[in-house]
Amino acid sequence: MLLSTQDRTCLLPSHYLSCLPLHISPFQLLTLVILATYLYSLHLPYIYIETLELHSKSSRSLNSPTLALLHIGLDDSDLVAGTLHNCSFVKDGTVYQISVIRISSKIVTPKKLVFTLGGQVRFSLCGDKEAYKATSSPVSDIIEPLNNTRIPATLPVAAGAASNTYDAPSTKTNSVIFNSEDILYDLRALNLSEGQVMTATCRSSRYDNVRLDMQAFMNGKRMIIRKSMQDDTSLSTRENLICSNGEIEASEAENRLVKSTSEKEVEQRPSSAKGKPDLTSDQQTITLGPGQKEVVIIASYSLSGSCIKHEGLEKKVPSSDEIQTYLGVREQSPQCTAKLWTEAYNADYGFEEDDSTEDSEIHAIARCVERIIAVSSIPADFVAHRLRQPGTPDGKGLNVIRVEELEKNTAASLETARTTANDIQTGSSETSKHPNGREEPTPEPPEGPKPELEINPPTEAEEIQVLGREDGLKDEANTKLIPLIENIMTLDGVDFESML
Amino acid sequence: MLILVPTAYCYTSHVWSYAGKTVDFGKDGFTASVSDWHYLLQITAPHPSSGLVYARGDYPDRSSSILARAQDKDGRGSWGFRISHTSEIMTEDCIGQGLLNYRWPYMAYNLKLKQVPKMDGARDIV
Repeated sequence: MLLSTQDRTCLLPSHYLSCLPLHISPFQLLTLVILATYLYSLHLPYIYIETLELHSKSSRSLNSPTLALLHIGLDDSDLVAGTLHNCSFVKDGTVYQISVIRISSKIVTPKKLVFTLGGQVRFSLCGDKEAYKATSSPVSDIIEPLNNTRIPATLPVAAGAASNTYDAPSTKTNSVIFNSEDILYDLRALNLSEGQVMTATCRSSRYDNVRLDMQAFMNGKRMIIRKSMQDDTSLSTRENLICSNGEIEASEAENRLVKSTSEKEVEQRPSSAKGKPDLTSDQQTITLGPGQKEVVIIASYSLSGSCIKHEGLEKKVPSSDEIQTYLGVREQSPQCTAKLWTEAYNADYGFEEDDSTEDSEIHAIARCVERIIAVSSIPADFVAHRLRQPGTPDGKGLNVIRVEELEKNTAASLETARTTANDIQTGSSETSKHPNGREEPTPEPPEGPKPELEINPPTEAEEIQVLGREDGLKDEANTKLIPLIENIMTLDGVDFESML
Repeated sequence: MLILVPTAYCYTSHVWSYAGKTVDFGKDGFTASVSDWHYLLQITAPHPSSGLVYARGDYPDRSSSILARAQDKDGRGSWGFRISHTSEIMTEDCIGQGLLNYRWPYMAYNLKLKQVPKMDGARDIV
């Protein structure tokens, strides 16, 4: 019996079962297989859903078409709450973050959406070695934040939105779904009253009074940004703050970030200060009407100070049209440089406009160039800023100091500076003994160059002289350029120390 | 109505599950950096004596620390707009990500209700 069974099972593909200490007839084996298949089919949905959850948690690659298919199979439509669209840009020295929350109609009961704006911020200078040392010590340069807001959401959304959502990543790898209407909100109905601006100021001579301002708008209305009380130690110092002009200055020592808000919040401070630090305790509750479908939150941040050529945060938010034009999302916008890139590339290589097979190449090139233009190239003229007297406008005071610096130098450096300036400016062989080397229609006697120089704006050749050619300032400019480059490379992930 | 913008208008090189480095954008030396999840990490401004002044989160000024914040999915170290984990709504899937005109970062999420497990004795996670 046993032998014959073994002989027959050897004919089956699953003859490995004979290794097991079981006596199974072919009929029993077939029954077992059928039963196992049935059980497997019963468990298939569970396995399927587990796979889905794993996919949605771990592999969120947009480029996977299978992921899109899997998501369509998963019915979680009763959990859809809407969409969130973020866009950030820099305009006039201010960083804008626009967040648009579109609320789904599937939400029946009001739900709260808590968001935070702001947080702990430290200032640091590029190539600041003392910042490295200070990292181990407790950091005092902190501003604290800000706001949490509840939005009960009770609203409707188009039913087809969820299915459209996942079509695009499967069809085109580099494509991005972009709802133009989401960013292009209407800000014309803004009610711009004088509100609170969250300000963090670093009153340190080393940092030249750098200030960080922040404000936020929700649906066109200025949000009241409150601080949440995090630590009691800093509270005692804040109680003694001097309130002036909507800002508060601390009489703290150097290198200490001053926490400052408006006067109104100072009055609220003692009541909220006693509570435990709780991010959700200081919230606003906003009930959305049935006509509203989205919440637009605009936060803007700006660094300003006496040394930065920026006047601080603009109280006015740019309008919707301005933002559209600035971002270049309109076809006819001059800022729409992506169209320019594509046109140039297709013209050079003879591609059709719809031919997207080689798109990755032009994308990589264009992004690199745009990043170099916008980010990596810092328009910093170190020496000119250093020589500028406080309180004088760009032209006059700068010129006087620069000429005085020039006069202190040796005759040799003056000679080279003058010839260089002449070569660059006019190309003529003017070799007069004018000490500043400036292109003057009527050369003045060298006794009185200062009044003339105060009138004229600085030329480009002078900038070159002062930055590079002059001996006294050359080393200083270089010592500041090197940590700048080092820090940029460190930011880009280059291990600078290993290169040395 | 969701529309599909051509790749020329909004481009991304990211594979979202492998966060690499930050997305930097700016103009005239005023820059900002966001992570792949669109958390604001730092802003900069030109500074006369040192070139740049940063405003960053509270973490050590080392490249490893900066990279860790750039790759953090929960947005630690960021100080811009972010949805708190205490809310009843959470961000789920990235449905769109890219750079408008190769300059300005854009990102879209699906928002999803948090599912509260209906079990006796279970803590309310919301």
